[in-house]
Amino acid sequence: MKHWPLYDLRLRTPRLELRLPTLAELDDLADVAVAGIHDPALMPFGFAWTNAEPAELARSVAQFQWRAISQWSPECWSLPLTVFLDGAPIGVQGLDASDFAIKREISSGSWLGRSFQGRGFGTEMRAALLHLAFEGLGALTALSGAHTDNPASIGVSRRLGYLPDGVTHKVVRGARVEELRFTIDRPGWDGHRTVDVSVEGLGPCLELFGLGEGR
Amino acid sequence: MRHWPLYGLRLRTPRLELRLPTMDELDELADVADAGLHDPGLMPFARPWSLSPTLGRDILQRHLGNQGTWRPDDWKFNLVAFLDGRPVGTQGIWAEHFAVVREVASGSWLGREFQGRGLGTEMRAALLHLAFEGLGADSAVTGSHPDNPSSIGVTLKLGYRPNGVTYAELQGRKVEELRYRLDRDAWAAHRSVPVELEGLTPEALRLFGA
Repeated sequence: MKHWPLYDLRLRTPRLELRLPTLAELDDLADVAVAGIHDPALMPFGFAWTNAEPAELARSVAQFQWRAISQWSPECWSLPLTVFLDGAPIGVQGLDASDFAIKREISSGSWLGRSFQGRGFGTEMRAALLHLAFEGLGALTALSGAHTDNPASIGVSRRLGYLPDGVTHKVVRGARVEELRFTIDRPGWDGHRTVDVSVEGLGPCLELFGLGEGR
Repeated sequence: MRHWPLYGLRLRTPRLELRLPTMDELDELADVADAGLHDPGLMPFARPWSLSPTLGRDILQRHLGNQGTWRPDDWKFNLVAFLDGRPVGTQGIWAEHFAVVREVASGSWLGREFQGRGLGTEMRAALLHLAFEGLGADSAVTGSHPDNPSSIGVTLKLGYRPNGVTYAELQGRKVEELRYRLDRDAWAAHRSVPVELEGLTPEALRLFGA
């Protein structure tokens, strides 16, 4: 897309492609969310968006995408990349930052359809995003967080070289929940790279990430 | 798009189709805006958004933002007008608490090269058909600066009546805005453009709070 080059940004790992979705793909992504992301007894997200009834949940997946693009500014951005396996959406890997040009720090969040979990895709997704952040955008640090009852997310963070970075507490569905924070710096990332990642179409997007000429 | 019921909604007039655009069509719409919307010496809009150096990007962001923040009690529906399958402009319609107030407001723009051919009248007629016939509105309002005779012409032709004036700041100057209102009876009495409406499903009506 001429006016929004982020739609031409692509990350590839051995099994996955990460990019922004078309409208038809957004429909399919919403179906994946409606089919289920986690055990209903648990709530891995800080905002319990997966509690909604199916039609509303599907709409919220699309609206989340649209808000991210519409509220984007080079000083404060959030990029929810759709994760594709064999051309079909299976989840979302998001990264976001504020004042990235100065702080050089990103944080990330993700979800993966339940039927696609347990096969290492979460690690590939996160590895792709770290490659974009450190190699593509010149990040110095990346942050992540997971509730204590989300071993899959914690496993991905540990495997890729993140280090513990304290705890914080949140209210989720009316209860106090502990969130473990993790951080990784450039040497830590470089020392744990195991997934091959390629990036395409980044050049025209640099300005949108706050890295344009004159910045 | 299955999960956003408004993608199936279509309005047809003798020369135009109004509907939501695909991402590629949104890109083309941004090109139309880049090609120019008005005499640079005038500013027909309440905010000078058409002078932005990133106009194409802004249009795309605003369009997606309307959908991203949509709520049944506070929505802005930004229809794109297509002539022979190509985007030529947008016709927006918005309302707060429509279920109770039953009133819509509207605003529009048309690429400069498509102006002066009566397309603005067809766009507004399509929107009024959606509002009164489709959503069950009781009234529609709009406004124009006094130096925008083409917008005022469309408004008067379709039966709106003057509804007072208001003042605002625009580019550091005080500007007058002429307000207009159209009720259901006046709309019915001034219908001259045939409009077809398709795809206003129960799911779509719920999104409008109608």
